[in-house]
Amino acid sequence: MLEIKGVTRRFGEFVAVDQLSLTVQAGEFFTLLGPSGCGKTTLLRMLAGFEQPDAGQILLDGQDLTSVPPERRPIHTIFQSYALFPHLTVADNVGFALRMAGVPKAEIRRRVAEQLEAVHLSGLDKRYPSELSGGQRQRVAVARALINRPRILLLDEPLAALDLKLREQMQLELVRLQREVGIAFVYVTHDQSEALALSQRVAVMNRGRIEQLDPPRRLYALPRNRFVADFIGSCNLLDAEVRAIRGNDLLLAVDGIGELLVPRDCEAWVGQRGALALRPEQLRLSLPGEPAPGDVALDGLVDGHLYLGHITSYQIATASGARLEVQRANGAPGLHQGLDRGAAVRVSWPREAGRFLPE
Amino acid sequence: MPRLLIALGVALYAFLYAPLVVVVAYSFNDSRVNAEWVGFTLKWYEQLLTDASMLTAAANSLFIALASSALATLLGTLAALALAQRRRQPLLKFLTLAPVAVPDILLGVSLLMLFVLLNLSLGMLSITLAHTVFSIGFVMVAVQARLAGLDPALLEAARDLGATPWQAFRRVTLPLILPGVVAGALMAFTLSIDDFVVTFFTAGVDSPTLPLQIYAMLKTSVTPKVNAISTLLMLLTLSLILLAHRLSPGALRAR
Amino acid sequence: MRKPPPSWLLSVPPLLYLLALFALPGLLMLLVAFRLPGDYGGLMPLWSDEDGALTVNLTLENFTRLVEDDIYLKLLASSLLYALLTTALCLVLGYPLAWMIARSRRRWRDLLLLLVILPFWSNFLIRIYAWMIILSPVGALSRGLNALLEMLGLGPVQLMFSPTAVIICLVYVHLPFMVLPLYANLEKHDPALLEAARDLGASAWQRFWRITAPLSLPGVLAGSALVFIPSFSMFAIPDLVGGTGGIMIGNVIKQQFLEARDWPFGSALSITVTLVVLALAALAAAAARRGVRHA
Repeated sequence: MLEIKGVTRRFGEFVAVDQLSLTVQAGEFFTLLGPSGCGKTTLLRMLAGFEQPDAGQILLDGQDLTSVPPERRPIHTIFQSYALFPHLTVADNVGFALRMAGVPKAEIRRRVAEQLEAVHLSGLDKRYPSELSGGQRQRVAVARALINRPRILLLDEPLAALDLKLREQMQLELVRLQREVGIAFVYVTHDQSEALALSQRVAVMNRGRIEQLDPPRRLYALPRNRFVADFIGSCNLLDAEVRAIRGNDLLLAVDGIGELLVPRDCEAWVGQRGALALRPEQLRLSLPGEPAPGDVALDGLVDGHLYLGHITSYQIATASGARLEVQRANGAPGLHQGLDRGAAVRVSWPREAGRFLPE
Repeated sequence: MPRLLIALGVALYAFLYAPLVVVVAYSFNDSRVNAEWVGFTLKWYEQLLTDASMLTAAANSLFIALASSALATLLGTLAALALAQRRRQPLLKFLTLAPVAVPDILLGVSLLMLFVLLNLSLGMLSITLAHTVFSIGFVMVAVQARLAGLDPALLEAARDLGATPWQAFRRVTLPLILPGVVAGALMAFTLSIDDFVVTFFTAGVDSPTLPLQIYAMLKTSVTPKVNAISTLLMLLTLSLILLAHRLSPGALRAR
Repeated sequence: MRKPPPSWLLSVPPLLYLLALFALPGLLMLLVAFRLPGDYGGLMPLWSDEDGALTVNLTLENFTRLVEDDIYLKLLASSLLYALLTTALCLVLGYPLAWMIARSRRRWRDLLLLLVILPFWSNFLIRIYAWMIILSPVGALSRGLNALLEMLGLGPVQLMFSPTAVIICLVYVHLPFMVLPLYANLEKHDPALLEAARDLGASAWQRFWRITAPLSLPGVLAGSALVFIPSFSMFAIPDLVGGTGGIMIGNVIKQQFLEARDWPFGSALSITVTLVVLALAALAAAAARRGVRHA
């Protein structure tokens, strides 16, 4: 179990990581997600030991690591560039940690062979990093970092350099690998879909702090604030104010829509300002005059659309003055005729789809 | 590209190389005068090998070049490493690079005064010390070129995998900058063995080097023996420089 | 745990070495320029004690001598002229060469550049010697040229031991110094700039003078400095091929140190040379700043 307690790191005036605390469970696939400059890489480098926190503690199974130099931490890193030693062969790269630990040569050779087999790289041991493909390099980096069985593996955007197809394949491989080796992975990325696909839990970071820490499904369905809703997937966010609290519901006054009820799932008070969040795939389109499938319905006009293959994204300007993005799966039943710009439509959604996000 | 420009380019390369070709060609000419082609001979090379003063000069040059390039390589590599750790060292940068830019003659006469005032007798030692002054900058630039291309993540990766800072330097930094160090050493060697001006002022009477010997012959008795020694010297330095270029492309441009 | 040496420790050996053997001699030269020469070379003692009267032997005489006797000013002027002419000729020859290398195909580029670099890593004296052969009165060039002049009814000329020989050798030796910084600059120009200019109606001539030339100004200035500085203080070339008419200030400096043994005057001359170089370098740097602002 890795505990981060109140860790702060400043660079001059800039606070990269701000009194941050979190716990990574043993064997967990944990992701730090956020835009560039949010502090996720700085946090990772403090876990590895390349940066010293200005305040706070880092504990591994109760043992304080804060002042332990990187070479003495049972934590290894997969670098963004992989940082394979260009002057060493694949075998020497993979065996580097054992060599540093003074393991006898014969054993190094045996364990390197084992490790290379585990990542399907047997036969490439005499090659140099420059003679490998991007996917092979990543596997060498993984083999090198795992050979002396670290307790935690840190991964700094390891898939960023790969093209889309290979990236998807490597995502599956990483998940499988993590299950096999059974140690905690701490993964840093700015790619929200990668974070959702890989992780058991995700910490969304912004300006050195954690905005929300939850499993992917909860993060997507129940974003806690405007930043998270906006960062994870796409979301319609309309300025809103709480007018009244009615049992388990909130009555909101929403800019461009008017008053409507949403479920209450957080502390709220009358007069509180925030936003109404509506995921575009939860909105429905129908023709005016037809019965609308949702509880809340607004008339509007199609202002534009983007055909994206599996879905089409429609920009709707409602008569009440709001702009909403609606996504429809292509080939979904109903509404067969094309909706061109200027077509009159009705937007509707089930009441539970709307959420109030306080400022 | 316009044809006129290509023709001009060819003419300029001819301008750069034709004189050197002339020197080499006449070294095989069976005539005391570098004027007309008489016939092929190797006698000028034979004469070189039996010329005791020439052989002494060659030995002196070689010794000075080895000693000064070794010293310059050590000091230049240290300077490059120091600058890689901390960029803001204006004094170090100035002192290493200025000798490259300062006119040779000024370097020569100022060192001459220093050596005389220090009562250091002019000879092999003073020449070696002087050559090192202008070679350090070349080595530093060659090593810096390699250090600049070094991904800092490589050192972190080594530390991450259990290497101490010293082990990381020895196993990762050093092997990776080694081509730059060797290229710098080769350049320092070449600069030393070719140097005339600084040597001219810092040499004593009993320590002739090859360039000093060539100069004396040019002033008094030009024979194709000069062509022969020139050809051999060019062969040596050009092969060293091509090797340095292979090891560290770009380092040569510092000159 | 063994720590790597901190940066200040790494920089100590090269710093000490260069302070002792570069900064110190430079400073020494500056001081010597205000001293008096000794009777047999070297320096007159800084203090002399004559009949109890202590005199300090410091003087400006070395600089006043330089100005009073116009032979030195004339030599400075002619050296300046030689160096400027050399710089101009190197620019005229080097610019097209650098441009051609920068515009050639990538796989040719490195080879072409290496071919420019190689000659100037070969021995300096040998390169001058090559021209001594070519320019010699018995050489084919001199004989051909004089035969041609005779046909035209003109008298013969001597190429060797003349200012012409000095200029030829200065240009030959320093041409690569001009080409390299120019190439480094021209190679970085975005070809899209020229395409954009063409797209907007600029002719080849206009594209060169409006785009390429102003952008290459820093390269021109860097190359000019690298050619000018060593040319101006050259002594070996005029010594070997200049004869009596092609003497430069470097020859006088050499003479003061090795023959006349007048260190103070030699130092004063050296410092004057340095000041001229620094003044021109400051001018070039100012021009470069303006050029960069415009570019």
